[in-house]
Amino acid sequence: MKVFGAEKLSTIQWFIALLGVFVEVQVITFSAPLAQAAGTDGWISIILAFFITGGGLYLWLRLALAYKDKFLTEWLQDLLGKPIALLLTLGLLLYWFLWIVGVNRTYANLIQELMLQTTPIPVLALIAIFTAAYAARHGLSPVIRLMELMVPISIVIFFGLLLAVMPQVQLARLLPVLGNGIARPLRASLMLSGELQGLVAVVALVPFLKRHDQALKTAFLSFGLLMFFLVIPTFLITIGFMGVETTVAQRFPLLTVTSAVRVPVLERLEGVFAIGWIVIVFLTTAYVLYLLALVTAAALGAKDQRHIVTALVPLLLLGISLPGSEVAIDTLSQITAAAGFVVIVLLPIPLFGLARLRGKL
Amino acid sequence: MFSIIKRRLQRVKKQKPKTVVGDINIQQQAKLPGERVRGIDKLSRSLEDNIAYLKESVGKSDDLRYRRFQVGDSDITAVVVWVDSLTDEDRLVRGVLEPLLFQTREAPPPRLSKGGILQLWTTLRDKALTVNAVTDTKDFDLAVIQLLSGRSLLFLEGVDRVLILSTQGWAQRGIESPVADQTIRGPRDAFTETLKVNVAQIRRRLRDPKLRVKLKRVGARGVNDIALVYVEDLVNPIILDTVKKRLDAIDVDAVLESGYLEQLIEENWLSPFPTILSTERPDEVAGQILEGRVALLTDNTPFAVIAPATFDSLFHASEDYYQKWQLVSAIRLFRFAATMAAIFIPAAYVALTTYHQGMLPSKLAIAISATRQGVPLPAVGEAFLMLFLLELLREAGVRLPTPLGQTIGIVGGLIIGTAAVQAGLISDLMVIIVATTAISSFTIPDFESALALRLLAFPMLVAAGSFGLYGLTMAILIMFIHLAAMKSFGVPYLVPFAPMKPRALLRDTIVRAPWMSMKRRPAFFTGGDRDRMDDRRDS
Repeated sequence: MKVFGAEKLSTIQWFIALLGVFVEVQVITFSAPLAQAAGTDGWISIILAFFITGGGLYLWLRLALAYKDKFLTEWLQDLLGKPIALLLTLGLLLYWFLWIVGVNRTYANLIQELMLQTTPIPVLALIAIFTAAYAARHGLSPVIRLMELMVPISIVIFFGLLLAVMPQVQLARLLPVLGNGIARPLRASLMLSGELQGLVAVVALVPFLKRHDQALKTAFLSFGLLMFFLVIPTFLITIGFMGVETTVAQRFPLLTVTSAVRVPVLERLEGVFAIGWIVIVFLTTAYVLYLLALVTAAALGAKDQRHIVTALVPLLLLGISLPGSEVAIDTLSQITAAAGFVVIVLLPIPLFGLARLRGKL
Repeated sequence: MFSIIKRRLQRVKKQKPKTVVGDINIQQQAKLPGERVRGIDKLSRSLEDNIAYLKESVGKSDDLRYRRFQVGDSDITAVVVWVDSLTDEDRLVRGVLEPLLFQTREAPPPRLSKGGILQLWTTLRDKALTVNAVTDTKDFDLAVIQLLSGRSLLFLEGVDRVLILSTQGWAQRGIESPVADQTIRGPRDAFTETLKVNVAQIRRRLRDPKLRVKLKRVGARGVNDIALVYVEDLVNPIILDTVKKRLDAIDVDAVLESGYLEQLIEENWLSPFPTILSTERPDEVAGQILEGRVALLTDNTPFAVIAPATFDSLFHASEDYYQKWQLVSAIRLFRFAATMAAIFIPAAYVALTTYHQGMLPSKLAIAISATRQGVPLPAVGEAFLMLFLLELLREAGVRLPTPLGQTIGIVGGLIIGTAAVQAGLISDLMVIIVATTAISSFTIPDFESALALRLLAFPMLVAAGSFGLYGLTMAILIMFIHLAAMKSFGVPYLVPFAPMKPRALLRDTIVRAPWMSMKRRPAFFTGGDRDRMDDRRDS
């Protein structure tokens, strides 16, 4: 298959792309469900989730690296045979589709609440999806280049705001540690593992890497940095700032935290934070849209995935506009989280075993 | 007549000229542009036929001169043809006519056999004519093009060849200071409209035996000379090859200015961002060539174009390399900040005052609200009106003679601005914002980039006026996707930011590192020798 607009990725590009896709939408919302599930020990759940999902990531990457010159759909066919691989590909496509629908719906809700209260959700979603489709139609390389430019800036904004909140954080709110035993954080870690949905999406980048020998190391460096320097501090600062009860009551806890930051020039800094976050969500959407088109094109044997990007736009828009209530959005996010756990943690185990049996690893 | 037409219809294989004398590399020139206009004919042994072909080709132009005479004391007729307006008649008389009419008298008249005529021809070509460049060719089309470039043609009865004589000369502008690329420090000479002078200005700066100047001709009707200038062991051969292929692919009536060339060879012709640099400064061209780029000089224009160009190179001025790195780095940071201001300030103002007043500190919000009291237009309308006026004044200022242009600036800036504020059509703050935008946009060294970036303020304004900061963010993302997808002769436009090249990023982008740390040339342009300098101070 001819892959349009995809040049080989350098190790730096791979690192930043992973960071961009890993961060995605949940960073702004995850503290609330995690605090509800694990209380003050949510940070232990994050560490546990790192090892659980890290295992899944390791297996997926080992598999992809064993077939380093083949695209995801191709090596799945090699491993499972055409009919099962096709079914699995369809499953992955549906999962990614639902994931990106969920991400964009949450995103549109937030933009409406924070910035444009009178603009309808479909209009906000349409702007985002059209822009993402414009990027995805240009191919992988521009999307990755954009990540190289934007992800570091967004992360710097993110860290800057987190640091600015630090004086208002009360660490005593994080105590006691393991007051309710390990079972709660453990259960929460399984829930959180399903939320890290960008993990498998990046496996599809493996054939485009310049240096496959550094893929595993770089992936874990990126994932580790994300979990230990971004996700854990976010949770600790959120709980330290608001406490568990208030955090659980928030739809977007991180925005509430950043709204406490005061600088002389601007007020309501959550708007600035939201802009950085818009960029991250946009990049994730553009990448997943490209991936959806590429996998669909590979499955259908289509020559040019750009037309598929265009065809996906109305479908995505419909998906984003359909959930009529918060309950429906929550249900969608629970479904994708459960599917995420299966795809990230469970699925690679039989695939890895099969590959070993067939002598591919 | 029928035989002439028949001959012209027969396309014979192009023949390379046998002799190269003087400064013209005929191997390069023999490649004719625009085959849609003419075929290539052989010359006849009959002088009358040859003159008839010529007259048919160039038609009856009053500035075309024919001088028919007998060579020396012989009966052999020769004809010299030249274009009056393009020829230095003094050179023609001293270098061609005098030797042919007088000096050949001393030689015995040859016999009118085939061998004798050819012997005379060789003698004339190699011994008699005193012009600096003489080219012997059978290629009729080449001869016509050379004639229209100011050279003279010498035909001889019984010889199916023509001598192209370097007698060109016309009034030309002297070397003056640059108008568009002004600097405080650095050389004061700019390119002129004469290709030869421009090439000389580069050669004077780069006395490098590896410097190559390759001439090409483009244009089917207004044939023009293009010089490709590069250093052989620095240029990336893939980029050079791409440039050559794109030049060869040009099939246009005429290339009247290097801007034609720029638009005809760039890959992103839908984009407003220039992917080729243009300058009138020879020192800048020399500097860019030393980074491995290719310069294209076009005859009849004082602007050279340089390929490839990256986004960050649009913000570099030649004097950035003449001043101390700390100062230059600070200036470049100001330039980048000013560029961002030029694009985003009006849009951000509109977004904040229209949609997100809550993000502004209360005192500032009240102050803005007070200045806008009584203004009938919404903020976006105000901004549009003022930016439109600004562009109008700029365009009027450029078109008018310099003293009048300045007057227009003063009239526009002071009188119209003040009157508009007093009439309550626009707010004071908007005048400040638009003035800041204008001043910021003029800090961008490259004129075309400045124009493209300044005009971007309009779509940004539409986005911000429609969807506030969200719309503005999306518009910025679209702009960056566009930039990220662009390439200039295969080089990603956003390099070294994306793809990230950490070494290059820290050396010569938004900041400039000290010369001592810029020992290597940028990898993304250079094809050969990457070492720029060797620090021997400690040895």
